[in-house]
Amino acid sequence: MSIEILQYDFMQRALVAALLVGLTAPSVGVYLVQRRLALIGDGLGHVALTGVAAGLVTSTAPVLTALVAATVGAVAIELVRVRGRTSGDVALAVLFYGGLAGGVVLVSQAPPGTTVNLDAYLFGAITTTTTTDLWTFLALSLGVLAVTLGLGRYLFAVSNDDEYARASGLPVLRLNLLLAVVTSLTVVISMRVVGLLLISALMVVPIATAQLLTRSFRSTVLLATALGVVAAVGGVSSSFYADTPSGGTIVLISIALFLLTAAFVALRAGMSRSATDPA
Amino acid sequence: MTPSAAEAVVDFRSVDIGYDGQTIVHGLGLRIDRGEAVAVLGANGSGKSTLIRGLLGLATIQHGVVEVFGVDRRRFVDWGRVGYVPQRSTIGGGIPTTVREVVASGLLTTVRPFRRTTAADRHRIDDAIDAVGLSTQSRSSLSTLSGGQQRRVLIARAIASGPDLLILDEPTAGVDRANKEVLATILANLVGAGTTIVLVTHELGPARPVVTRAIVLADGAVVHDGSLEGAPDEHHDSRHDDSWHDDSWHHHHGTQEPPESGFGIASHGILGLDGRET
Repeated sequence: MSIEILQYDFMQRALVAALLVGLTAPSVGVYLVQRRLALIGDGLGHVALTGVAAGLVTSTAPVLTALVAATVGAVAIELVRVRGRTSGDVALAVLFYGGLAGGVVLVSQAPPGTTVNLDAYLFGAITTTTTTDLWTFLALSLGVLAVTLGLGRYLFAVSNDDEYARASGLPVLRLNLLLAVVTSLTVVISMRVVGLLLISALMVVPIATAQLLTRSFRSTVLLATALGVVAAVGGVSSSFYADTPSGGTIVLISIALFLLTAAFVALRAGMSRSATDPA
Repeated sequence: MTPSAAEAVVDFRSVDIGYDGQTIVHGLGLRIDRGEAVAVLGANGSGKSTLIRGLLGLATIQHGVVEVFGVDRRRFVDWGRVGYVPQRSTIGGGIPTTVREVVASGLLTTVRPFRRTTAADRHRIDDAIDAVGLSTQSRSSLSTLSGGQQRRVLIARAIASGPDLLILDEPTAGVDRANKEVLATILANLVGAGTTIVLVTHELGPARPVVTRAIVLADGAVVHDGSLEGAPDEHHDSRHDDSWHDDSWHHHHGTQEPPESGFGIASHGILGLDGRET
């Protein structure tokens, strides 16, 4: 089966893009989940949509305009959060709906003759990844992994205990901004195969699955990344055969892995309980 | 800094500390020298936590100068010399985390980004975990530890960098008697090793013999600075959270008088730590 998939150039590109998403999304998501900001990726996906629309209207590569929009949105929301002027909920709501509304309205202004398939941006498609996209995604992925691997201990400290990190003299604001920026990069990396409305799932669900089985932060990151790759690559392959949108397929596989793991853990706990229970 | 017999570790000069324009500690003048073990006492809301939070940059210095090891705290960078145990009963967010991982984060001010953990770092982490008697749980998930053990993890994190000054904010609140004694022993060992201690608390319990100086705050001002014996009663607000205290003498509160027998084992300062829970 793999041989047939690899005969198509578009599938080769989609699979590489999926691999990059699978590697990066959980490695960023683990810090978002730790900080209880799991849905920030979703908000940035909405903002990126405005960027995509701006790209379509101005005939600029949508990946680049999405990158600019998501990064500006990420920095803005982090600064709003730090200032504490607005509650996190309200800031997120502005981000979510402002981003989505801006995208939809802008797209309607696209020049005549522009073919706009918003579904592909929102929910992912296997046929849309271009070679240029792939190089962009590769560069962004290297940037994301350099931060999450190279500065992981710092991101861990800030996510685990923000106040202690500040008292230790760590540059907490800069680290939080950095995390916000790599989150936006991850959103952009995912925009072809996963889609802007679904990327947050791949930042959160593999983490939730992994932590059912792990004891340490490190093993959670490693297992979640493996699960992310399995879901992303498996989802893209399945969507080729089943003719389904790749983003939805990836997320459903990810959730299936979560449910199977949860059932396994519950079963194991039940068995060990009945084994120790004399009754 | 003029040379003097005793080296100032912390020096507050006419300092106001607070948050968002509200001043909580007023006109504070306080110098703590190397080797002192200072208890900062006072009722809830007296400003004792704000005092150390100002020092650590978690509250705003609104007026005056705060020096840490002779350097204005705004220019001070050597935070590995300062250990901090925050007022907290549990640690961590939603992700499983081991004792080692938390303690390792205490070394971040002294390690370089993009470098791997060195063997020397690992030894410091091991030593810190050993010092709080949790060696056997070093690779356990925090969620399997008791509240008292989690406090000891926070202390291990604070001492991993080998600080010259250790600041603790209510480290015994909500901790059982056995863990309080373990904490007192850890403090005694650190003082013996020359670490300067600033302990914010509203009840000293077994840590009492460790303390060399008591500062008492009331309404944001120092009302006593000297020996523990001369200090006004340090736990007059303990009735607010009596349920947390298992010390027998708290059961007859109202007398407000800690009996001498309350400081048992730790006053000898030689309790062996083996990491077991009693």
